[in-house]
Amino acid sequence: MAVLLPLRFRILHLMSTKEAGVTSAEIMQELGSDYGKEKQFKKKAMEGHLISMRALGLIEVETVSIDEKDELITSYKISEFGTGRLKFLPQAYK
Amino acid sequence: MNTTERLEKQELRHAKSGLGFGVVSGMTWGLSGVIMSIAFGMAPFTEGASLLVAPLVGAALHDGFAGFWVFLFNLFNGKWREYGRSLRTKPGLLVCLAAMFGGPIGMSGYMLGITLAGPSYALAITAIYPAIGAILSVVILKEKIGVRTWIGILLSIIGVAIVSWVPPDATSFPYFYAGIALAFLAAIGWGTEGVISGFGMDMVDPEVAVGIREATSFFVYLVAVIPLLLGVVGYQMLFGAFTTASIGVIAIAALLGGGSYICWYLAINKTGASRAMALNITYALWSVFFSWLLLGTQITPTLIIGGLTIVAGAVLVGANPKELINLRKV
Repeated sequence: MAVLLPLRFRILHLMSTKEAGVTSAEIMQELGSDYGKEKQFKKKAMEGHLISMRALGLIEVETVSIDEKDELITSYKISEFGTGRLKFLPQAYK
Repeated sequence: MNTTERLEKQELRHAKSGLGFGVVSGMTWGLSGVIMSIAFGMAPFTEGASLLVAPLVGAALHDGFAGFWVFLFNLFNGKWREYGRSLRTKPGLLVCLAAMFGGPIGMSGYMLGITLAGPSYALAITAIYPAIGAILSVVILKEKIGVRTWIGILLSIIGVAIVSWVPPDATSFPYFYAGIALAFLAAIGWGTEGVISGFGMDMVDPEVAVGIREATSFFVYLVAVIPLLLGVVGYQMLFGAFTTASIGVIAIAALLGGGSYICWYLAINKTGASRAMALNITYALWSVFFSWLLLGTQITPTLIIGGLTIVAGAVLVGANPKELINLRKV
């Protein structure tokens, strides 16, 4: 693939390729090969991106549950509004 | 507490941290301004060939240093690669456009407004920028703004007008109306900056956006504002500053200014552009506080009344938790 997208844009792009919702752990798994070595690629930062993007209407909560460690596991999918933002993607990602 | 409630609590905590960043952005911007005023009292800024040279060169140096500090910050938090990636996308270029509205248009208009019309009028007029920004954010970002928030924004603006108001003195400002027009231009510039950068930050990391914003602003000052408005004297002062102690003072002001911008952009991203802007203008109050603390400026009843009005406005802006969870009508 061409030059990497800014991480936040890539998260949106990744969601646009999935039918079902994705959790922060799944996103980190999928994007790890491209961004995994970077210090910004941390669980907490990823969750921060997702909460902001949700509040801004780019993505929606699909399901929410609690795991065995009593942590909140939220899966998100791209919203119609977020899909509109994909028109700004570089050609290589369209 | 069920899962939905826990999620809501997590989301609310996130939005409230945005409100906190908004307040801190105002505080640090106020302190940065007071420190800049100390630098403007030092050589070479006191030796300006015209009144316009020092403020514009000072603004350029401020943004240059702020860009440097923010880059160091992004180097340490592992986001430096995002600069190039962002600049290759349209949202990244939108952040550059926001920089032009905020720096060369907003900041220059503000500085020239102060010079030509006096600080009280310039500050009071530029403080309407959250209202301009709020209207633009409804149209462009589809932000939801409730009645309480609108009242809060208006109260904050009125408070700034009270704080900065001093009766016109005998000093004549021959270009007074040009100064007023430039202060309006600054308000439009800053309001537009908040909304365009808010749009860009849908896809670009806020801390990276600030780095791009400061660097772009510095670059435009260097290649357009200084040569077009000031000419050679501008560059002489710019380079002259590096041989004086004032450069250290500007570097400190820019450290706070860069930090302020990070807080402002994070607030825009976490709690919406309209709220972030209304909290950012509390800088008028903070600059009075820091002037009193550091420079011994007198506190008058007008300052206290204005200050309380700003605080009341800021409280109303963040008062409705329901508005904080879904920021936009989408």
